[in-house]
Amino acid sequence: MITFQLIFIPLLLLLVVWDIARLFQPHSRRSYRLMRIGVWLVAAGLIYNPDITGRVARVVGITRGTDLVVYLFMLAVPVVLFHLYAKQFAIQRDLVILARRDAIRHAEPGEGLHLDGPSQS
Amino acid sequence: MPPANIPLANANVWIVVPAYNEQPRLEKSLSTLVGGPWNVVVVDDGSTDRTHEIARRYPVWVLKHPVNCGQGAALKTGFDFALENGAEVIVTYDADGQHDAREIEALVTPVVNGEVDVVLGSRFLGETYDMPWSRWAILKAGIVFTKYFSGISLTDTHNGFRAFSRSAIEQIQITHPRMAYASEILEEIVRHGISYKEVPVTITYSRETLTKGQSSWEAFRITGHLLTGRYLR
Repeated sequence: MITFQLIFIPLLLLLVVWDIARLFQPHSRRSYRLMRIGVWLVAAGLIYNPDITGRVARVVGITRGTDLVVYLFMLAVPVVLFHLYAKQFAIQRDLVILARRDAIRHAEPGEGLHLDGPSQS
Repeated sequence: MPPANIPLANANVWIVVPAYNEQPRLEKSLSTLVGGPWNVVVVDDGSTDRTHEIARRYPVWVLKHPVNCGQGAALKTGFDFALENGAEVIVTYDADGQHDAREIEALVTPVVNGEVDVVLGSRFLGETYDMPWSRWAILKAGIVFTKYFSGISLTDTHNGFRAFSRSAIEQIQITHPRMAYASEILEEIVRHGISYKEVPVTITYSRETLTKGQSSWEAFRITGHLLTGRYLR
C-alpha cells in the first residue's frame, strides 16, 4: 500500500462507520445516509484498486481512468451547485416569511397618525 | 370592490411605499404623499440608514423588516398589512421620489369605479424626465421579454406605480422577494384573468435615484431569478 492509501482508506472507513452509527438514530434521513455510505465505499474501493477506474473507462470508451474521474467530476459540480443554490433559495424564502411576520406584528404608527380613520384626515 | 363612482375618500385606499436606505429621498416623497384621502404604509426593508426614523415623523404606518428582504417582499408585507386593515384599493409607490403623488387619483379611479381590477402606470404613455438611454433600452427589452415570457403585452412592464383592487391583491401571489416580483405580478394577472389597463404616469429620474436604484445589468439578474423561481416552484 502506498502512503496515500494508508491515509485515506482508513479515513473513508471511519466515515462509513460514522454514517452507519447515525443511520439507526431516530429522525435520521436514511436514504441520505445510505447514499453517503455508498459514496465513501466506492471512493475507498477506487483508492484501494485504481485499476477499476481504468477498466470502467475502457468499457465506456474513455482511454484513461483519470479522464473518467475528471468527466464525472465535471458532471457532478453543476448538479451540486444547483442543489446548493436551490437550498439557499428555499432558506431565503423562509427567512423572508419570518421577517414579514415580524414587521406586521410590530407595525408602528408615525407621528400624528389617527388610528380611527385615514392617516391624514 | 367599492361601488361605482364612490368618492376617493370613502374608498379605503392604501398606498404601500417600500423603502430601503431612502434617507435622502423619503422626506420629499412622504411630504407629497400625506394629506390625501388615503392611508400610507411605509415598509422599511431593513435599512441601515435613518429611513425608519424619518418615516416615523409622518402620519403613516411604519413597518420594518429586521433584515433586507427585497422590494417584492416589502410590497407583500405592505399588502398583507393593508388587507388586514380593510384596504379596498392598494397603490404601490416608490420611495425615491420618481413618482408624482398628484397622479394617484387618476391611477386609482378606474379601480375605485370598478372599471378594472389593476391599473398599471406607464411612463411610455406618459412622460419621463432625464431617463438615460441605457435604461430606455433595458425597459424596451423588458417589454419584449415580458410579452413572450409572461404572455402580456404592455407599454411599460417594470413601473412601480400601480393600483390594485382588494380582490386582485388577494389573488396575486408574490413569491419572488426581490425585483423579479414585478414580472411575477404580470404573470399572475394573466394566470387569473384579472382585468387591467395602463394609464400614463410621469417618472422623473435624478442622478441620486439612478445611482441608488437598479443598474441596467439588474435585468439579467431578474431574468435569472425568474427562471430559477419557475423551475423551483
